[in-house]
Amino acid sequence: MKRSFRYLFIIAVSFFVGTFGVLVDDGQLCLAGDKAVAQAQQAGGSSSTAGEQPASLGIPQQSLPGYPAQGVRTGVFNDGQAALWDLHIIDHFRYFGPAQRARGHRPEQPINFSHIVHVQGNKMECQYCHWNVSKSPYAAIPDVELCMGCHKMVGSADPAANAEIEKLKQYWAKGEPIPWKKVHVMPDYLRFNHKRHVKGGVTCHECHGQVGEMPVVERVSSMKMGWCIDCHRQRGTSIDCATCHH
Amino acid sequence: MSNAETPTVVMDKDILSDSIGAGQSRAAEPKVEGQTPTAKGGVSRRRFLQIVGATSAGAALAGCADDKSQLLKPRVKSEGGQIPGVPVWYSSTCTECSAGCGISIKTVDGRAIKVEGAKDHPVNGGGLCALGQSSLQSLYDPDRIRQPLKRTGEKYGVGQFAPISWDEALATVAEQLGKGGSESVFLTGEVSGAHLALMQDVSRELKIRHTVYDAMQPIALTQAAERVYGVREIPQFEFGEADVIVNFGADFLETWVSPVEYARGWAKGRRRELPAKTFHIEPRLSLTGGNADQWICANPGTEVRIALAVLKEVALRTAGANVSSELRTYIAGITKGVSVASVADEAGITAAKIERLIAELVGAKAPLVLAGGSAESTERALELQVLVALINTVIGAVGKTVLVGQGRRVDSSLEGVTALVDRLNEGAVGTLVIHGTNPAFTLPGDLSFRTAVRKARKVVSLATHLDETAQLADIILPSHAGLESWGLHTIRAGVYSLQQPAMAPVFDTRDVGDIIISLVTMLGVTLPQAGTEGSFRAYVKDFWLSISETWKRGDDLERFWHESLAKGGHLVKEAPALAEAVTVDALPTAFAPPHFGDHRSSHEELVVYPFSSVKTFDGRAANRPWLQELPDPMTSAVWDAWVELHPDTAAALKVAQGNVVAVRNHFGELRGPVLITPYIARGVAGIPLGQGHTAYGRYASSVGKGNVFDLIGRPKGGTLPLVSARAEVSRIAERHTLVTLAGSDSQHGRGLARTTHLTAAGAPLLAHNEHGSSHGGSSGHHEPKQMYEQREHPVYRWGMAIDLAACTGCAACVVACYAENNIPTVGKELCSKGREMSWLRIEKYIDTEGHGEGEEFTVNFLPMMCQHCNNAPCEPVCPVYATYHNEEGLNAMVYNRCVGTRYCSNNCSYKVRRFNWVDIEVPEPLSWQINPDVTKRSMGVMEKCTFCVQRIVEAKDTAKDEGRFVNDGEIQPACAQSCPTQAIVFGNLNDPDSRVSKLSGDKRAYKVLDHHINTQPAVSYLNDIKYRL
Repeated sequence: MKRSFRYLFIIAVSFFVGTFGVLVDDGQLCLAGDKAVAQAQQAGGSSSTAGEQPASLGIPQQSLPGYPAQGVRTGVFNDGQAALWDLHIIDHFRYFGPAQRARGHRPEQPINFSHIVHVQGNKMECQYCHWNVSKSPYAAIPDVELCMGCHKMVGSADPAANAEIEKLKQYWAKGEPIPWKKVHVMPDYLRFNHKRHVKGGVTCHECHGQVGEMPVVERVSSMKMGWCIDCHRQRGTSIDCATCHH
Repeated sequence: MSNAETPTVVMDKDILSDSIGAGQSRAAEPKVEGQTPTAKGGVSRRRFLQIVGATSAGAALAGCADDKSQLLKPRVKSEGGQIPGVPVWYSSTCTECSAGCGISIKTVDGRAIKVEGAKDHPVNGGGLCALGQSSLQSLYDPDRIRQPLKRTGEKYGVGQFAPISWDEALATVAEQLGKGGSESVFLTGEVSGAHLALMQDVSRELKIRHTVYDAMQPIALTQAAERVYGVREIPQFEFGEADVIVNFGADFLETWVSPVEYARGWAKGRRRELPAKTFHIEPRLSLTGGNADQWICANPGTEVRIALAVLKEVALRTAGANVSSELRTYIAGITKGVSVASVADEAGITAAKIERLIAELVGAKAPLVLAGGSAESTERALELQVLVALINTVIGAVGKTVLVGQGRRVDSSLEGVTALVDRLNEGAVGTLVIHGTNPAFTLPGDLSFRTAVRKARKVVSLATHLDETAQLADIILPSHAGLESWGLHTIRAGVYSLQQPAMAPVFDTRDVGDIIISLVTMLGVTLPQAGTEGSFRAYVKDFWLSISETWKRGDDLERFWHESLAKGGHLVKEAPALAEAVTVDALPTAFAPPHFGDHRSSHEELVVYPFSSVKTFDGRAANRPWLQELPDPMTSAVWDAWVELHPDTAAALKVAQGNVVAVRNHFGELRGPVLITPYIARGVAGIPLGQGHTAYGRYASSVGKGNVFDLIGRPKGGTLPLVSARAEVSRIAERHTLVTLAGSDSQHGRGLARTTHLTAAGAPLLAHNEHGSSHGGSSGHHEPKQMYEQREHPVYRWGMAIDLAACTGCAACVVACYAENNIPTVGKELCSKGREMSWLRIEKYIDTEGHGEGEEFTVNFLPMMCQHCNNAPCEPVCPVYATYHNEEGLNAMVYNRCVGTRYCSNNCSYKVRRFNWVDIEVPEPLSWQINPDVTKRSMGVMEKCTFCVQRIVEAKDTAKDEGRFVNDGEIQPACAQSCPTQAIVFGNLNDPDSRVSKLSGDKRAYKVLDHHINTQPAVSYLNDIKYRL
């Protein structure tokens, strides 16, 4: 009995907040979880470096040049209009659905790969490694061979980082793929075409957030249907069900 | 390395691994017990409560089911520019039968997921039959042999094997072959090109005898061609050129010789201004007979008498214009005393029918007469084929529709295999190596191959499956499936086609060519063609380069080789000229009808009439669920082997539909349910070939009790005497459910599958036009006034047109649809409840409506899939908006929104919606075939034809990349792509110049049920055209 009240309460709050969000905030919801992030950002300073696990969700204060300012539409807070239908407030309570589908899903990876070092430190473009996002419908993690293209030669001054590179070399030597954990787990009934989006001018961080600033990659967007539709509406692209569901 | 040559590593991809599930691989299990492939059984009360409880706990919980850790494993190395998720197509040749159709194999991330006909191939020109489509299920068959095996336990026990290493297995076999004393024999299926050359090399070098046996080869046809035309081959039949086709039982639209090629040619003839006429003479109405303008139901074995009468009349009426005086005398001699009336009496038909046939034949510009199928599987097969060849000569078909010297050679020899059995019985055979044929199943029971083979010192099998023959082996060296193998096939004189692997081997198997080369190398023989690496790939390459020498581009052979592989590597050379004239001496003189066993004239003794169909062939494809679940084209039976009886025969035997009968003669016995049909001659028991396996795999061995080949006597005269035995048919006390998926044979006057009837002169019959217009059909069609606002389709409106005059009902589209759209096969039990999942079905109507008394009727085949109605009855009844009409005219179905009320299915006027009553478990690696572009539906979800929306999306995607609209013909749904006759056309109805628009506006076009219920389907059908003769 108690439990069903909790459900009712959550649903009621979701409706309320969703409606409120649509009417007042015009797609810019800022809820409890997000507030904590924002506070952490303010308090955090620029101390987060490679290999270190910061207390916040790992977003350093400074943005990279060319990247939009934080907190506006970086992909972290851009769930909006569809809140009413989608009830994605439940993400914040982690109440329904698998953990992998929730924002903030941040699985521990077999290699502690640092996007911060590669993107910020080495100024590498996303598509240098993820080169086939513009060629294939499917997202692509680079081949081990591609990693080794640099890491045959390139090491690090940091022994902790070198240990991670050593793991990579072991996978290469054994001829085994690296068992990366999926960060963006999508349901089977969805056909998402990366190529179309990249070619259509959607930047990587609009969905994936500032990956270049994440020590460990996490899911920053709810990636629920309402979130997709929101963007499709704004851009005037197809919102036909059969575009993605077939 | 080129990617065409190097099959890629199978990549662990999330979508694939998702669909496969977390099932464990049974990598080291040679023997798999026979289990029926039914889905999970019923729902227990406890489970029901669980489900109800879970459902009421809240729909928001849905989606938790896939809460499992998901890995995203990249490849270790990049593979020659391959991009994950982007399909790579390999050109190859289909090896399911000997027709040699060109195929394109779609691979995604190193796994073959679809086989399609190669567009510009000289044989099939884009289409591919049901058997070819299903070759994927042979590749991924969970019952395949997974590594070399050695027999353990009792000698010739059933399937007790232990795995051994390749080295050990090869060494043992090589040692056996090297032993002197007794001879070694290679028994293979029909092989050509590089395989044949290799076998010839090996048998020459090692003094090994090479015997070929394939039950489906028209041996009598080649023998007759040798005697009459002077060339031992299957002549090239130009169906497209013929205007009158007289066919003695050849199922050329189903399994006979080269069905896709023939169907393509036949449809070309049907599409002419004055379509070709087809007469079909057979005791049973087959698919080919149903497509003919006239089916003449002659008593079995009397074909040879009818042919004799036809020859006599034709020779008289053409006054011997095309033949020598010697031949004229011969014909006069053999036809003495034969008259149409007497022959008609023997055959149990009216003389008028034969007269009409003869008149048409004589009046034809390009006639074609052929005999085959069960008609040439009698003891008198050679005589029949000689008569047919003589008729062709007399009426001048040779050179027009029968091209001699350009045909395919047949190496299969009944004499050879009979002699082999005799030598086995004498104990003269040391090592018997068997590949590509299943003689323990397809040799007549009278030969007792299974006992004879025990006398061999060692039996080595190079099989892919543990079939009846492989189970008799001492050592099994498992070979690749066709899609993993190399090859180069001589399709017919001057036409070659390359075969290359599309993916890395699924199991620890080897290419059969490689196995043979390894064996001969171990015996100290070097084959220079196999190169330094000693591989069959090198052998094929050498063969290819040597036959295509005129095509060489400078010295860059390597580049030429790769280009050949990429473009499909078929080569058409000038065929040699026609051979010498007929020598009458070699021709037979007696033409009595065959004698069926011992005539005890008891009414219980029926003529056993085995027939092959697109579904069963000769049993080689019995372990493929797609084909088992494919309804038989004429009876719609699934997952079964049955006994077809005429109602009068059944009444005499006092059996009813569904009763089980035993069919016995002194060779063997089989049991099966009775299927009563008026479309078979009296006194005949029609039994499908190819069912009743005792081994082979879980799907094959669960179907049928007894093998028809076991009822057949010892071959005489070099042909397989399928129709030669009488058998006692008696009812036995056994229960059996025969599942047929057919509805009514009658259209009940609703004009579902329409026919334009023509008179013999080609004028449309008035009766039909009245018929058409009374349904608001083709002629005088006007758009009805609509009450509501009509839907708009701003850019595209996808539509389809199906030409029923070209559709043969061969069901290639059905299997293509299964493959493309991840449609599960549900098994017999669920089929019996009407829960089959096929999105596309072939409706068969045999209607006597509009015909006079007697046997006259029209057979129609109507491919029925979702009609994508503009006013779809399914859409307004969906409470959750899971099915809706989109802007492109598709009736879309959103699986994740569907809650399974089934209202849509109940309201669908075409009964094309399928509901997932259970989750179907697909065993690994059969599940590797799953198309990653199509959602695999789960329990509780409705599904139906999508017009292959994934292909539409893909084409639009490509068009967007190139900044254009989708071109006409760019999108081909799987059904349209696979159609051997190109009867299905898909495209944009908004574009007035598209092919589909033009066909939809054709005067023959109509829409099913539209005139009754105003559903406005996007699918137009074009009337069938049949002569009323």
